[in-house]
Amino acid sequence: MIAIQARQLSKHYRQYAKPLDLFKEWLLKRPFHTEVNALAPLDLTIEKGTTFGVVGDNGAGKSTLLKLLAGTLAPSTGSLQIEGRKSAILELGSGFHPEFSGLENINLACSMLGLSAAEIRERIPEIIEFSELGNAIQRPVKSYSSGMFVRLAFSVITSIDPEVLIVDEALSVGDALFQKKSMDRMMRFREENKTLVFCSHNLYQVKELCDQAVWLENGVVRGMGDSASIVDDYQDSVRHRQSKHKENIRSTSEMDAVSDVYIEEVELEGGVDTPEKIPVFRHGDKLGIRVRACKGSRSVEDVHIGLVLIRNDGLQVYGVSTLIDEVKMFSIDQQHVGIRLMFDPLMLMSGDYALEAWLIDGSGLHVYDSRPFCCQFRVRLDSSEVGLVKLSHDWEPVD
Amino acid sequence: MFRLYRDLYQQRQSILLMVRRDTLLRIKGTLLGPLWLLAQPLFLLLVYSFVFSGILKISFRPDGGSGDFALYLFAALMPFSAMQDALQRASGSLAENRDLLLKTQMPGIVFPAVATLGTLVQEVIGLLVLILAAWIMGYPPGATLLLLPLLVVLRLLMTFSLAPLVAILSVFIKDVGQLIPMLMMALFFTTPIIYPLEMIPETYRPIIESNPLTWLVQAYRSVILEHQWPVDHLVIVAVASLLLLTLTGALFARLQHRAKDFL
Repeated sequence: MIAIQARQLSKHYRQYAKPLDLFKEWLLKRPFHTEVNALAPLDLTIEKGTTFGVVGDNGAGKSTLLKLLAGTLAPSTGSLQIEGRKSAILELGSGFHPEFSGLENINLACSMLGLSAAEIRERIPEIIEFSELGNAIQRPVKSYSSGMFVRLAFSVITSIDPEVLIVDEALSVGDALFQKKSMDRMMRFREENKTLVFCSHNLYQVKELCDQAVWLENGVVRGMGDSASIVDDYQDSVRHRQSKHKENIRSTSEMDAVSDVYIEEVELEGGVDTPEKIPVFRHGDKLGIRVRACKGSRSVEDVHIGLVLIRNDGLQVYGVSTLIDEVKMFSIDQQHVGIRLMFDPLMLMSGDYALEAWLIDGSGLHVYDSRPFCCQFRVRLDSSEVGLVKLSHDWEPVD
Repeated sequence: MFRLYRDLYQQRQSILLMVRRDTLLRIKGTLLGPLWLLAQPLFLLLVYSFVFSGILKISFRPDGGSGDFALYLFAALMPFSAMQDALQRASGSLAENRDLLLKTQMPGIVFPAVATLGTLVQEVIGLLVLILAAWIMGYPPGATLLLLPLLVVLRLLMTFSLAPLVAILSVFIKDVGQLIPMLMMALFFTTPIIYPLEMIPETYRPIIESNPLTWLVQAYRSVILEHQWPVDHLVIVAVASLLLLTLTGALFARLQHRAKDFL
């Protein structure tokens, strides 16, 4: 059964420099506005019982999408159908009347969502208890802290038993204990086969909680599907952008251009090729790096290769060289040497990675040649573990 | 547009909640409490009686006794000031409830409705004071008073035929909030409130008579003080209000989503 069905749903705003422009436009039938596209037309089908995540940078259109789904914004184009009672927490501390007390706001919010006075009376004790607000429930909500706000909002919204729950970023505040409590409640929603649309900067939460996800960028869908792969793709893109800001990559032009000692080839072995020409490795696969270099007139002992695995945000994961490991390169012919570095099994976690290769002399001080950023590859792991590499570990009983 | 009224019906509980809250807020924390709702019209009536009957010594009708001016003035002033108050509140209602409007599913039409109903209690108490004072001063209540609830309903209808218009226009043009008091003052003097309808020269009559508010305040006087059944007046008011309500509703339905981008 389909819970949410959106067809060509989009939102653009007209921005007017001054209110008068609106009337000028109306009268003169000429545009006096600038169009702001918050969300490009998007098709979305969410099955009942699905937990659906929305990821993307700030201003990518996440909130716009959730507001459209919640019905507080009218779409500029397209249609939207939602089955069953929906409730939403949009933005922090929103949707309350600041002058009303917490209790009055509970009343108001519940009757807005269509509960009868009797139903509200019945639920109020539970709502107050879950919110942990105690006596503060009698104070006007304008005096609440952001944590209190969110506790109240979450308690109200989830206690009315919606079929579709829309939560925007709300869980990023509040103390850890309440976050846990609300997480548990959302998990229970999932178990009750209710539909949850969820947006968070905490990508781990999205990966963990959601079945499916959409990645928005500048109001356009960059990807939609299985939440783990969407989150991985999004994270790769974030890291990639971060690395672009770093200018610490040394260019090869600094090197001796006419040297007869140079790296000929660095090549990855294993992995599956993708249309984007970036090989994908599964966590635990074999990863081989084959290096060929021209040693010129140097002796084999005086030519060493150093390889560094870097993540696409520039983080050095691991670097080692034949010099450190006291290994000699193998002679291929008079001029050429080669060697293969094997990682088996590959313990990297999901992410985009690349290599740095350094051709150095026997002292490790002189660099003949380098490849600062080569052999991009991707690692994928179907697991909720987080981090950079998998560390060997054991769980042991305690007293 | 029919969705607008369906929204109103669905949100009736929220509306009542906000109206009650607004009314209670005015007296909350004061020493007299609910007595203030009574004290204000009572005090106003005493002042009017003193000024018009004690000092100016004018009467509203040729055959009227002393003190009737205050009563006639008061009978017209109650619906008028309730309407004025409601429209003033309506003009700021969407901006004040920005949070609820933008971040919850609350439909916008609720807020002018709350502004309209928010003046009901004050008006009813004022009318009760008036009826009582009139009785004391020699205008005993008659059967025509049975029409008064209908009049109040019509007054609400008339107010609500303007409140959403004022509310939505104020979002696009901030000046509307400033304009309302001026327009209301003009309306105050072009409606027979501080003078009887009969006093208006023939040349201006059509202007004054084309104002449905004229017929509304006349009806209030008829049922409270003159024991007449102003049925024709009521028909005029009802028809005018419904026409205006249709226009206002259509405009509000068209503009409400655009308004959200401006808030």
